Amino acid sequence: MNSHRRRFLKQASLGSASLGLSPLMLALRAQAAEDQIQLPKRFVFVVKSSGIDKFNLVPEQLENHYVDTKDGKKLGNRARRLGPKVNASLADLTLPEKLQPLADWTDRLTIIQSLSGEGFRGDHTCGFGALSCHDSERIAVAPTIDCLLGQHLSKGPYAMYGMAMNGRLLETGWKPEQSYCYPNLSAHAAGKPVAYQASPRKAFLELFGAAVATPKQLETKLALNGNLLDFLTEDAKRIKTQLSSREKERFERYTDSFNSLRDIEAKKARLIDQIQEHAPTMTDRYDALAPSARIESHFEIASAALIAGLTNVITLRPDTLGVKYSDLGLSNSVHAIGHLDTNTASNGWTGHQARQQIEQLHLTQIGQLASKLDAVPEGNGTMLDNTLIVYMSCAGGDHHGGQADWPFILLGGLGNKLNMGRYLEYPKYQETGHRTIANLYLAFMHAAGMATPETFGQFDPSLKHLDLTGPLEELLA
Amino acid sequence: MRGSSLTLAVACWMTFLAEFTSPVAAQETSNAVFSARIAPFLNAHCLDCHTGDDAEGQTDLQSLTPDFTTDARARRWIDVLQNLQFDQMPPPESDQPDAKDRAEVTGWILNELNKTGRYEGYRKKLLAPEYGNWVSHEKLFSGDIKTPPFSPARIWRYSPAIFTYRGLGNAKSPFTFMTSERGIRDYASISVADQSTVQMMLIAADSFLADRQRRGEFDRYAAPELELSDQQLKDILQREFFRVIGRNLSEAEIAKYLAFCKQNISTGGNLEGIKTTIKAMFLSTESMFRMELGRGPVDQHGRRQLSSDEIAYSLAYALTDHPPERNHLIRDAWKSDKLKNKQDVEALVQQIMDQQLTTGRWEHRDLPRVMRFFEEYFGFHRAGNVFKDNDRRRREKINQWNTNMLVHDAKMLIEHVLRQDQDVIAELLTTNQYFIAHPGNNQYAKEYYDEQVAKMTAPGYVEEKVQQRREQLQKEVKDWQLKKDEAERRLESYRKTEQLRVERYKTAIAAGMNPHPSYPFAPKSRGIGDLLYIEPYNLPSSGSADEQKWDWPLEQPLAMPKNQRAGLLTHPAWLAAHSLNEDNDPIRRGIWVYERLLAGVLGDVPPDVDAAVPSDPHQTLRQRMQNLRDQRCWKCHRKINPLGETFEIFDDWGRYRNRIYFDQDGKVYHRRDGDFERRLEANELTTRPVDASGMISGSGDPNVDGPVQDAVEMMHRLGHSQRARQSFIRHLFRYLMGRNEMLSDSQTLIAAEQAYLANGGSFKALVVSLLSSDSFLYRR
Repeated sequence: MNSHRRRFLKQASLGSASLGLSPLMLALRAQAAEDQIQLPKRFVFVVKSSGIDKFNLVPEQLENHYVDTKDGKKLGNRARRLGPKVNASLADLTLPEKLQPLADWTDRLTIIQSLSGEGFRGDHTCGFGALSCHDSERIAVAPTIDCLLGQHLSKGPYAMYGMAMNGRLLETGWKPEQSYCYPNLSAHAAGKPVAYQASPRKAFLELFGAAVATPKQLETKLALNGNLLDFLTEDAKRIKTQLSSREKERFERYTDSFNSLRDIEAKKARLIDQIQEHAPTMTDRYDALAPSARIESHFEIASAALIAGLTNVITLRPDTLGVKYSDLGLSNSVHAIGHLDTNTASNGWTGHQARQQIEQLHLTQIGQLASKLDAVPEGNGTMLDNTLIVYMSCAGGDHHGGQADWPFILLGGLGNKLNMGRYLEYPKYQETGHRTIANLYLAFMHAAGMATPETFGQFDPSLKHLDLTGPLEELLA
Repeated sequence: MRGSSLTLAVACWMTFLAEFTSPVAAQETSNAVFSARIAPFLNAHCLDCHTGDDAEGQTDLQSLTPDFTTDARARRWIDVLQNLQFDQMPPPESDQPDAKDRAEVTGWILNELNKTGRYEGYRKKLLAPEYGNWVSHEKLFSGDIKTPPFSPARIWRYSPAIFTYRGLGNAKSPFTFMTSERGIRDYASISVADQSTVQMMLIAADSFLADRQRRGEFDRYAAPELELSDQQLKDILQREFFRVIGRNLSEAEIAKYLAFCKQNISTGGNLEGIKTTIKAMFLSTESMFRMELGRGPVDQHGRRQLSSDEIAYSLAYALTDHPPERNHLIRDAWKSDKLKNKQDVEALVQQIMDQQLTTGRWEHRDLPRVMRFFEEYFGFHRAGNVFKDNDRRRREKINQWNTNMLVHDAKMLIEHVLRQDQDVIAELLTTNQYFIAHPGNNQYAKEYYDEQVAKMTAPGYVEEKVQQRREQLQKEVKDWQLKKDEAERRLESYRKTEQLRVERYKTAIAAGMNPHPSYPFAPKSRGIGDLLYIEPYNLPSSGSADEQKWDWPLEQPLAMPKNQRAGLLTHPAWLAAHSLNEDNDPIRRGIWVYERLLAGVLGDVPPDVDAAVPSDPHQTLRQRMQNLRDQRCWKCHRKINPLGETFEIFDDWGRYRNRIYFDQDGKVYHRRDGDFERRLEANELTTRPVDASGMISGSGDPNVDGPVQDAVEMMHRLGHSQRARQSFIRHLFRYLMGRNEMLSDSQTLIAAEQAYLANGGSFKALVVSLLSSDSFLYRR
């Protein structure tokens, strides 16, 4: 991990020697020179549906560019008022009501507003585009940031692990899924979408099954798996010789998976002690149907998986548009609530209030996850200092078309590589100084120690007058 | 090796897309060719509009250099390529370049893409269904191409539907489509089994085996001291392999699995050893992929015919979701060695079409893939995927938004047309003969109707039913499950409902109407409870206990008004499936007509397209879409909007309309509830006729091209056109072959069209022709 990063930075420095180094590059080189103990870094992406409202994310001491100055009402998409870049310390500001569940971590919280992600079309969602910065709602055409980070950071059996409420998006009614599903969010590469586990019970058994098995059972299981994969590899060889080169290429996607499976099992076996130590207790809640119970179980498993070292990147999909938060007294689906605005939902809340309550439900779970990570010492701090929780939506800043102003709430840290405790608001779409979600993802890559390219994902032609290369400088420490 | 095959691929590609490409170009350097030939072309035809900061469509072509070394730069050239290939640029009103010059530029771009290793990515993209039309329609049907047709030898990952019938209960399919949801889904070259597929299959196999273990199916092997003989193990292996894969193991395979099973038993004991062996069957190549390698005889063109086994599987999966053993016609032909050549296949497919085209249980037809083709081609089955707000539904007087029933009605229409098997394509596109709230089978409909009417009108019916209910409730009271007064209340309510139902029957009969008999879910019919959902047909709805307002025809199809409905594209199911949450979707409708009836090509959507139509309550949707006539948008939208806007004679529920209402503030008035009636009576609403005029262009026939008044006129013009027929055949080809057509499939497509026409517009003849074609039977 570090050698990659240092190599990149060394090359970058050499390449720019005669050009004079930008302050950013000087800072990066200084970091590369540091001989500090490298601690593992982790990410948790929590990607809700239906957008995250942006007008109620602005601390009261700051001018709110997302509401009408006359009546204080929320402005429509692309209608935010003009304003300069804002980079303020949250220490001097009052945290918006919506973010109160995270009030204990103001110094490790950063709110980012008005990054754009235009051009990734979709029906109420950008699908894979939200994390890959490509126009690819339903078909993965490029790797997503969570998978890239996972491939780089994870030393455990899973490069990245996903858990979702279900894989559906627009169906009315809510049905818990029994097993894996495809929420169309994460992909290891083009055409390699990641299946998410929807059942908390099955996620537990998959990740922590070793905690409830004897050593003999584990040994036998591993040996049988070895037999199985050897047999399948031999069987596939026979077919492979009969295929054309193009068909072989496709067939290798199948045969390569045997090695990956073998690798996962070997890594799990090495982690047996941690798995047994940190496995959560499986309760009836793991079979509950209420959305909040399922979300709670997913978060619980996520924290245990991170602590046990099963993966360094987890993506959670707490809801989809068909979900009904019945335990909040809402019989309207998330989709229906997205259309309510100031009209009232079944329990008397306005659409705005209902959305805030749903977001707070997620933020409360994020707070609990942070608490658990903060209780585990790591280096001079805690696991939370080396874990970044990213709360965002696949639909940007609104139920429809909110991609010109895409809010992100970051909690935790990446070993002091990020400026936390900030409110960052970028200038309006197309205005000087405006930045995109790709710049944020580049900052994640950089802070994670990855070789960071100049750009990430698809170019937005409407922003060709702006320099959109490199990570978000304001976020980097 | 790789380089040479790529060069060959590019050469083939360039041959059929740019047959006039100069051979000189390949010999000159990129820069020299660019300066000598490409730059002058751009200068003559493009730069007038596409230069500098204020270039049209923000596309500055003056800054283009012959540099393909980065994806971003190559993408700019691909954009030029598409615009030239599909005559999108220069715009129609400008002077058009010579075809030879145009082809030279496209050929040069393809060659440059290849030189920088970007051709393969481009080629792969064109394998997707949405690029099917990129092969020249005119050339495909010109008759000039004599290349013997074939399909590439291939593996084809199983479809989710095939997995569903594997007998793994409710296990979620590990096979997912990578193709767009709006079109033909199952394409061989796009089907992938990767790590996630294998993992999901493993999970499915684990839970399948765990279930069987719970049921005690493995109990007899569980004892650790039990020694199983080779013969016992072989029997187990044969049985399990047949269950998982659907065929018997050969002797060599038995030996291989036996050795493997013994190894597993020695590692983990009988039970785990056998389970691991079964797991291997689930994860094996044959469990993941269909194989069409061409194991039959080789012909003089170097093509390999499919073997009898391969033909049996390919036919079975072309028409059903099961292996060949499950269809007795295919199985019999296969086992009696009558699947060896084209004639054998022709005879078998004809037999299948004659005997099974629309037979089977309502929820699972004998040939499920026939209706699935119509679903994927027309897309009407997605009606329920478009969310419609309940408040709107109430305000706009759609008493029940039952898209399942609308879809059922559309399927009945299709099956009726298939049973007639005359002028099928034109009928599907133009008929006003619809089925509404009907099981589709007139004989069954009448039998059930007569039975119900006799029952409901018999004296003492209500009392008999009440007595039955009373006995049921008394039992519940006796068992302490129900209080007595609650039972009385329920009984009274039941009596009232039954009385109302009887009343509905009697009133309807007295008024000379057929009372709708609420069809049940049965092998012969999908349950159809009442007429509550029929408002989208402009028919008055009623519930099962309400007074019936529409004289429901017992014998169907029924004739809808000819000026309002013409075929599936004017059917509420199709209209709903191609609508937005709150409005019509003229763009998607236009794209559908352009691509699927006119075989038209639209380039990739520019990434910065802002699809938002401005909201203005004072304007109709058509008026709000005027901004798409902006020159940059109009390049593509001129092909789409004049087709899609003709459907404005319907609202987004599928109701016909000929006027749009405005309130006193000049806002479009959508309500159709009591408030609407009141305002209408009080003269508070003004109206304007719907403008659904449009234009057909690019059909290749001057008698078809031209302005149309609305969608009904357009469908009658297009429905009988050669272009629509050929376009339908191309899509059916793609569906049955699982791939896009190549120019070398020309003979297959022409023969299919001839078979269709020679048999009076027969769908059966079309399927027989395609499934016995060289494209289906030969591999290379």
